[in-house]
Amino acid sequence: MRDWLFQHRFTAFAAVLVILPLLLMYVTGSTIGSSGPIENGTAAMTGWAQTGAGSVVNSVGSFSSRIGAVFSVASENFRLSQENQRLLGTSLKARRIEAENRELRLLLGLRESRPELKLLPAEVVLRDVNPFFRVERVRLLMAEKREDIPAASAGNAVITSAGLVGRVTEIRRSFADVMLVSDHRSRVAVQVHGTGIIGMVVGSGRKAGFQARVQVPVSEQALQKDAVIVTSGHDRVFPRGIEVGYIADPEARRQVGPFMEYDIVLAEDPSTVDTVMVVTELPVAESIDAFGGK
Amino acid sequence: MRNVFVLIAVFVCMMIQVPILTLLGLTTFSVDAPLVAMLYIASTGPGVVGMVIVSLMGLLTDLFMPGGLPGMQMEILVVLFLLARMVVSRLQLNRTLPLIIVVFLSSLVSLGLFMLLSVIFDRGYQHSSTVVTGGLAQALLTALLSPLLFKLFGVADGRFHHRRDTRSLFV
Repeated sequence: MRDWLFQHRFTAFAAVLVILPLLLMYVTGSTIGSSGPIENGTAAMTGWAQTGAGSVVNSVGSFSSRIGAVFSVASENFRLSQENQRLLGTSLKARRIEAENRELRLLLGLRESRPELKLLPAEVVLRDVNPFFRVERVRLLMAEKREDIPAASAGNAVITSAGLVGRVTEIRRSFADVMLVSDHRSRVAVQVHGTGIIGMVVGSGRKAGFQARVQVPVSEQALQKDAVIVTSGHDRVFPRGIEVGYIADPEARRQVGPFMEYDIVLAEDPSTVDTVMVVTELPVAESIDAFGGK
Repeated sequence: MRNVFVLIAVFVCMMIQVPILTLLGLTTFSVDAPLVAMLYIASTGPGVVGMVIVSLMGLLTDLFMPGGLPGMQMEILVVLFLLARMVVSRLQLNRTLPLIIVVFLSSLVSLGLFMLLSVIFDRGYQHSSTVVTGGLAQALLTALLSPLLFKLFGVADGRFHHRRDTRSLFV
């Protein structure tokens, strides 16, 4: 038996290595949204590694630009250039702080404008890494438990002051995977602001542009250019009244079954967002559905 | 042990890929470094150890792919490794053009396997033309950069053996 196994070790290993991932996919596919301790640990580890790699690459980029400046100018110009660089650096630093300050003020404004929402800040650590999914990984910034804010969980909405970003699909310790509105699997119950027309926003799946499509019943009146699409709250996932996007070109609409489909430009471009808010709890009124059930 | 350095090189490639592409303003692109590493391992060490390393590499890729099913890339890389070891011995992968063609075709097979396994195991998966176009774009970019990645893996492998990789890149 041992000799036979030794002789056929490649076949045996190949069989194991082909079957093992199939089992893994079967198990994780049927328990989507809840991860085991090993998966949580490894995902957290890669999350930290990616955060570190981002910082290192940014530092190297800054360092290489300085080296380039040193060798590209003559000695006098070098001194002036250094002075210029210093002033530029100070200016850039001030601008960066200003931008960060503005972003934080917007987030603070969001918290104050929607006091009924329980919000948890999170920092984006990983953007699209593959051509198949529009998923980002964020690091939850308030790891310690607070009584007034429930812990984040799968299904929570992710928003910014500009609008909707997506929903949490997986929580792994202090990291969370967020499926963006532009992911082709994403569905958001919406309404056209000020008209009462309800519909569904479907992700386009495109990596660039961060676009989506909104489907409204054919029987409804044609939507106007720049009509604002907001969440309706009917799906009990996203809080009501969060801006999703606006109609880009109503002339380019097309009929898809019983729906009329319009392209929309998303209100928030996730490629430029560094800090987001996770809605950990919906207001009580919104958690009761239209049929009166909990 | 000889492929461990290749595994580390792939790990580093995956870690720095997104920050570098962001720095270059190429956020819409991505490179499938594990696929090229798999071909490198299949051409240099197509045995049991190579297969195990490829499997580990797939698992690593799964951890770096939020949104996907764990085990998906592991399965794809192992299946591609088994296919590749049958054909790479007849091809000269140290030449640029055959390498680019093999990587491109492997990427297409990888895309097909991804869609097939997603249909079977991923309950949330829905077919979308953007998945195909995104996969094709990645296949093209990976194929074009594969000679450089092959060279990088050769260097990583050569360091371990205290020898220099003398294979020509563009011959």
